Amino acid sequence: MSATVDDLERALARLAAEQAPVDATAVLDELHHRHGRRRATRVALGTVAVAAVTVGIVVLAVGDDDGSTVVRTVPGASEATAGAGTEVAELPGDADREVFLRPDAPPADIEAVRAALLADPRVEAFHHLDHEEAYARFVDLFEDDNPQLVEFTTPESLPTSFVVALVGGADADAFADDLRALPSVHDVVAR
Amino acid sequence: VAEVDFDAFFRARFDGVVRALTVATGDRGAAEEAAQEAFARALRRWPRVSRMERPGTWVYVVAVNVLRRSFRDDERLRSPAAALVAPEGAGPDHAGAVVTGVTLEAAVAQLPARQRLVVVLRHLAGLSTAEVADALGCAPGTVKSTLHAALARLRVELAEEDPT
Repeated sequence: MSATVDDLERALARLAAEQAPVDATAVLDELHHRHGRRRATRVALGTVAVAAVTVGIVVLAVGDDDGSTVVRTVPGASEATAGAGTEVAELPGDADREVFLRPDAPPADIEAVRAALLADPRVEAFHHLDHEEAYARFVDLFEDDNPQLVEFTTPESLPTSFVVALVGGADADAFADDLRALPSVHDVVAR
Repeated sequence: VAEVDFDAFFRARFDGVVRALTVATGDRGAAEEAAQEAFARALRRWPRVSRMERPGTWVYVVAVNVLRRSFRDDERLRSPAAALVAPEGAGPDHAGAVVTGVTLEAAVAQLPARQRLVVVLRHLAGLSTAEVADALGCAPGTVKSTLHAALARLRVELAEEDPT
């Protein structure tokens, strides 16, 4: 018995046909969901204060998550009081808002935002994205489309943020207005 | 409009890409993940990808690169896909083919992983020799010699099983 190229192509087609079909609709929905979140984040970030990096390139920053991370309590994090926010080690999967600080926010201002979130009964959980974590997301978001932007961007040039999951029924607009009043908070955007 | 175009492209091509990558790797889960990641990247830059002459080929190239990265630390792209011809739910005829090794499908599944990947990309996915070379980061001549070796091996294996 010999094998021609035609025989081979028919055999490959049979092997492919034997594979179970995929649920294309479900995958397509997931792709659009991920893409929508990513695009919304990028658009929102266009309004966020942005740092000029040392070479003068203005950076619009950052972010995407797939909402699938596990929520854990940060060891050593401040004790949450009943009904107030809890700081978690990873992005809350059902985050509602992201509070962006100015890139040059002093530590005292960052701590003031953290304290406000810990004390706020509208907050279910939150996670602080420091410069390094913001940079990791920035690289993920832009490395394919704009590697030069990544090359000229430093972690310190990106704004840090708090990603916040609100309790059910909380007034997200009022929450955003309250946070915007704190020092070094540039904006609060929907996620 | 662009997203409608993408949806049509996705529905026309996703299933085929998953099947081809499954045949190439013997790993359905890895095939689905790589295909999904490749189509996600296509969606992200759809205005550009949609203007390509062969966007389907671009997806294969991206997916193969995803696979190569995910398999870098293990043996899956270097070992035969024995599981390939006995997928879950395979019928008894097919199982028989695995045992006796008399079918071309079984012989394909026993090809070294690199040869099988090249064969699938060229003769199932329909990529050109140059496109396969791009996907695998090698010279077109290497693709041709790999295809030649794969076909020769298949002929030998089939001849050994069926000397008539």
